[in-house]
Amino acid sequence: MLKEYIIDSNFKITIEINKINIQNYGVLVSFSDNFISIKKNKLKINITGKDLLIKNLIKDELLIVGDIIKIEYISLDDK
Amino acid sequence: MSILKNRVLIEVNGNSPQKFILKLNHNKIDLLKINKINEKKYNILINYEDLKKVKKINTIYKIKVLNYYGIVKILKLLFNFYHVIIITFLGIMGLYLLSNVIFSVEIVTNDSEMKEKLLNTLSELDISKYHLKRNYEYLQQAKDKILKEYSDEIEWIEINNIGTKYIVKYEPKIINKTKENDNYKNIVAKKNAVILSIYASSGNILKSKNTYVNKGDIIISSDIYLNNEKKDKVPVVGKVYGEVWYETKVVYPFNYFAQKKTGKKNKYFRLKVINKKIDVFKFKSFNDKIDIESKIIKNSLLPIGFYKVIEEEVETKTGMNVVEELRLLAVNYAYEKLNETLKDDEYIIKSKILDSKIIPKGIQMTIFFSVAEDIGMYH
Repeated sequence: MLKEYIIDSNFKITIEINKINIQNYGVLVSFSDNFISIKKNKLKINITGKDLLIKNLIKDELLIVGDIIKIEYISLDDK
Repeated sequence: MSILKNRVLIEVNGNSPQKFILKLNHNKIDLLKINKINEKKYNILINYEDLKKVKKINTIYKIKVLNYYGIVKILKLLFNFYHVIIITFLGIMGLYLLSNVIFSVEIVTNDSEMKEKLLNTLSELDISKYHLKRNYEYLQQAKDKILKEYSDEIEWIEINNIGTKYIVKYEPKIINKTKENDNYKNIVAKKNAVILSIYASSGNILKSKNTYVNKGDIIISSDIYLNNEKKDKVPVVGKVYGEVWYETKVVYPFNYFAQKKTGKKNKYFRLKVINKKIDVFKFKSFNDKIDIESKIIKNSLLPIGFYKVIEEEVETKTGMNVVEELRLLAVNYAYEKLNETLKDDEYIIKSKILDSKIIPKGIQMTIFFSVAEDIGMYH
């Protein structure tokens, strides 16, 4: 309990204008200027936009900047 | 960015650098800051400890280090400019030495004998050329020691430091000299001899040239007589030379070992730390040589010293002398040894070989010498 409290391992996504911060993002599957794909357990997140750039990529945090058009959550259980 | 964190900015260049970024991410390398320069080029800030891993992972991309941050940057700078740092350090050391080393010691006097004596005493007290300057207390102690040592000759002494020079001024004790002049002593023969010459500027000459004198005979007297009656006493000033005789025995070996200086010299500096010797600015070395060390700096507490070394090349010869040569060498050796004991105004008149025989060690000779010597002494 204490460990979980101190080390926050929960998946968390923060959306700001032209900026997305994802904590405990799992695996970065692919990225390009207009598409970034992330996989966390049985959840896949596809971000579509323009001039997308991963500014920061450390083991438990990821920061994307650019013109974000769409964020898609796909549950892999459904497929 | 904390200056204590070691980070490095790298440039990744190649087709689809995104794939390489994904590869780095899958290898759990933190990409702290990513900047896209163009489609083929990214600048990425990573932790310094990940740099080796990044280079290992890389196969086809060109990785170039653009900058370092943190302590590693300071270390890299120091490493890149180590020669500048060493030169600067040596320069500061050199400047310190030049401004704290004495290059000349001048004694203000016309008395060359006293000058020589004082220079030797100062040298024993480490107040000499190429030695570090001494503080006020040390100079005071040195002055006290000199005054104590030369209590009969020096009244007062002053050691002044001007730049890299010591100027020593002293006041001689005049009273002593007056006493010496007042000394009415005779000149007597210090050994048995035949008088060769007598030079007297004051005193009564009692013996003549070619007279045989025994040890203790008065040659120049301070007493002045008139009609066999003592009239006055004068100070005696003069010199007496006489012919004296020596019989010397010389043994000269068959084997010889001789070293002769060629005149070639090599100068450099030497750092001594305990028993280790580190030679500085030594660009060449001779096979057979003699090292002469002169102290520049020596710490009396730590076993460290810095020395100037003059290395002189010598030619070493070893061999065996033949009997004819041996005779000549033995006579020359006896001449040299006897000459060493003589003063500048004394000389060997003649010599004669009395006996010569071969012994297992070499040759044994008995040589007679007739020598012109200063035989007078005040008594």
